Amino acid sequence: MTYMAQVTIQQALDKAKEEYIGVPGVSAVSRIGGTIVFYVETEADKSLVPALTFMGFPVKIVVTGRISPLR
Amino acid sequence: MVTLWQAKQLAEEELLIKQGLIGVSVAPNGRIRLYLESEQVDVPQTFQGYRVEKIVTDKIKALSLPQASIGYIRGQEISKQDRARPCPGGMSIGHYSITAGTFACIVFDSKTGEPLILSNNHVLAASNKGVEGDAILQPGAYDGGKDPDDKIATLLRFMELNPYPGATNLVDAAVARPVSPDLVSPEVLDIGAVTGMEQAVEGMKVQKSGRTTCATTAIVNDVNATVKVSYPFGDAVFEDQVMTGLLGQPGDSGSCVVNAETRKAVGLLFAGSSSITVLNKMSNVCNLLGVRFGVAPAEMAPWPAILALQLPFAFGTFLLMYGQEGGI
Repeated sequence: MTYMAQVTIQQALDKAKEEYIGVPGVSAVSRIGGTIVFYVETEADKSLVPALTFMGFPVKIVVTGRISPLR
Repeated sequence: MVTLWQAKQLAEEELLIKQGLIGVSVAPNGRIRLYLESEQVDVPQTFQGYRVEKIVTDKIKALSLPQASIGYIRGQEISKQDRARPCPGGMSIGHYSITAGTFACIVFDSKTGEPLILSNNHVLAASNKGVEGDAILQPGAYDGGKDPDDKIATLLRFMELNPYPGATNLVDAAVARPVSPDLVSPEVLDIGAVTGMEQAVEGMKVQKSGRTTCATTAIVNDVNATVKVSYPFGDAVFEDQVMTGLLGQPGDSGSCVVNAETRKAVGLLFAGSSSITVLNKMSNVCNLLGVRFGVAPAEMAPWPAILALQLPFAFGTFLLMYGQEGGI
């Protein structure tokens, strides 16, 4: 029998931010309820982030385009 | 060497103020494209290491910053790129060295109670380049504002923008002190007076009044986002951000975003893409800048002041406090 250490959604979010926010093409990382959300700049950038789960939590990927100041 | 897109943003900041230069873009051949009113406009051959391509045109679609829109206050029409005194929120504004952004609304210094103009750091403080006392123009320079004729305020303080990697950010925010309190109005075009704030929640319908796209609404999709924003100086990471559907375009930075039902402030619009818009939480803005929302003091005139002046005092006071809000 395999035992997995309990990881909270906040711990998973912190780890996701640490690992992915610096990746070119990833525009944002968040959580909505129990889901980790990765925002990426293009369809092609979806491959940069986990497709289904991250640390046991379901993943949602949203394509946003590049985020810039609106001045 | 900066990327081509960073060079474009730098060109917008540094060159668009030049008389006769009406737009900046990136050409498909990897050059910085400058749109000029005439051949006589003097521009550099290269910019930030990229060759410059000159196009003489008067087409509005060539402008990198879209034309300002029309707003409404108490049923009256006002162009957001015009000079307005007293000036309500939602109008064009900016540090003298930038293009133009949006005057969010009036907030009050938590210690002194003085009314202050709220907007973004990159609008009022030129992305950390400004210093206290710098001239703030209304309208912004891109919309024809000139120093000293159109100086409405001076830069007071701002939260410094930290580039990534390094410290993260919570807000892109700054406040300016009006030259005189009677130059600004406590109201916001299309919204009315904003006298309080609340937290955004997922699914909330929000509204803003901005320099470019005027009154728009969107739904809050996320209230806990860590967002990477591409500034001319490089990327900056913002934590604890609100993300909505498309709410603004270039020039709308600095807009006050309110709950569409309660008209209480929830965020300060500062960034976005072609599909989403990012807001600083207004609670973070107020805490970090040392400001609060509140009821305007008597010396601040609503817009247009002449309406109240033409009415008997008691009725005028009633309008000041309970007057109808502008329609969308």
